[in-house]
Amino acid sequence: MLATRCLAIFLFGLLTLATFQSSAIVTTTYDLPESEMNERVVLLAETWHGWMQELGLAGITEAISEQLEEWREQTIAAT
Amino acid sequence: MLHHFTPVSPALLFPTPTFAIFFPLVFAAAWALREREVARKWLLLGASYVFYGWWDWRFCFLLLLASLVAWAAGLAQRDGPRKGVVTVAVIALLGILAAFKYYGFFLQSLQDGLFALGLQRDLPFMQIVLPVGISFFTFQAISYVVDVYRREVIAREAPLDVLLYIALFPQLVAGPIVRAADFLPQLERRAELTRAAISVGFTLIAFGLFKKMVVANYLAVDLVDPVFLDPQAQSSLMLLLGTYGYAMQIYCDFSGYSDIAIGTAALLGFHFQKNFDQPYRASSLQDFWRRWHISLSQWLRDYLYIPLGGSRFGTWKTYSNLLTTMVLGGLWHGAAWNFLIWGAIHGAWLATERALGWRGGTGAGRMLGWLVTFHLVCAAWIFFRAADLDVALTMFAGLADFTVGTGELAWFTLVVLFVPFLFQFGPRMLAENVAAKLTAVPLWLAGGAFITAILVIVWLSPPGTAPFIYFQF
Repeated sequence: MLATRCLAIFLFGLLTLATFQSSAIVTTTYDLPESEMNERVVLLAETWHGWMQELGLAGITEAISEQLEEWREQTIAAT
Repeated sequence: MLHHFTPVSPALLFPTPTFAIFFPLVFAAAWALREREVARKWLLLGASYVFYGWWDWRFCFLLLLASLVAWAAGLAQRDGPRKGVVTVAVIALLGILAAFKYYGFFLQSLQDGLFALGLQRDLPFMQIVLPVGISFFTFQAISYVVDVYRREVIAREAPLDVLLYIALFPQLVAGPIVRAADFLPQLERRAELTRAAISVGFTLIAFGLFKKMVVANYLAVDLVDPVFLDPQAQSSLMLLLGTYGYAMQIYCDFSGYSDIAIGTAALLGFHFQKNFDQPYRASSLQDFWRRWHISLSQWLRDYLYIPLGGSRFGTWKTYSNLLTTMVLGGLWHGAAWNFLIWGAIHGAWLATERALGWRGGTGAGRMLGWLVTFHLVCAAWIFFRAADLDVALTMFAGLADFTVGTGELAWFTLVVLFVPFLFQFGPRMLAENVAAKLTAVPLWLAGGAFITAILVIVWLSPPGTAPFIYFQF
């Protein structure tokens, strides 16, 4: 029972990551070897990413990345 | 001529989507088979070989060979000459390690030596790929053979337990080096998943991922790599910060991996010992080695230093044993002169501390001891990280210039550099305390905290997946 509940947590975690990291999933699928099945996987990933973009969830990751990049570029010498 | 091998990165790294799918599948299957002990072990063994073979399936045969040598040596000790069997098995296992790890280094050094004597020769160099984790699973195999000899472990008739002990995937490629005497009894007990183990798993996996994916990766990309790539272009201040950066990068990278390995093992019902215990808090090098890569230092103590005689045969023999153990410990990390120098520095200072009777001090003495120990360790790390001796010496020369430019250093990087110091000087039992708090709340809340932590870590991490430093060993 405990293992089942723990597994549910892992699966929910994967879903959460898939929701907010949809663009990373698309990028990962682009690296798959070419095959008919993998083309369907890429299409599925792109479709999922499209849905997350419509919901505005994919944008959260991008916004955070941009802010972190901005901070990484603020040098001590320039301040 | 010094050389570094190119680190190989297995595709089934911990912080990857592939592992995030792999582990829940193994977790589910392993607990579904809880009542069927043998089937469960075969499942975990199969999953471990899939994990290892994901990088290169051919080296699964090497892993299997080392495991079978260990198992056979255990069995042979029941009837045969025990010391002779152990000697042959250890030589065989170290021979496999030497062939893959030190062949090129030996030939290169020989060629360099012949060239220096004016005797150019064509030597039979071969391109040898270094199998991931070979140093770790070789040492575990030796641990089994010697533990059987010392009667700390009963030799297994069937190979399954030994194969699983050596190949179990959480610790297979970068430790901790689990002792046979610690692990095999766990296989004899009924597998149990407790709330405490789940909390430990969640906590350590989150801590480990934060250390690796956020701290170590940013320090590598934004500070350490640029400094070590072109030390001549750096001010003394940047060389110093780059050195501190590497000290923290390797700590976060390696202890992060250990945390994830220990946490993953806990979720499968196995207990591994802590592998790092705030090492940069040490006020003596002896204390440092009780806190850094604890499983390796204990292995070297029990299977090398003590068999060499330890401190039982007089002062000079003790110093010699310390130096030998640390030099070989350095070479274990890699087949290059800079690892040998790194080990020699540690061995020489351990002998010096022994000669001075230094045990860490109290009050102001302790502070001084910390300052000296931390900077000695950092100085040795320069050899460990530098591409070759020239780079290391350029670093030291640059440090002595006392220039203070900050170049392209960002405030963000400085903050990231500060974070691991908090781990060193914060509460010693931080992970244990967090795990205890998670155990006290409902599982769904603990799970929610875990998922939130993972999501935040992923958001904070730079893009890409850098390999763990210790995969090259």
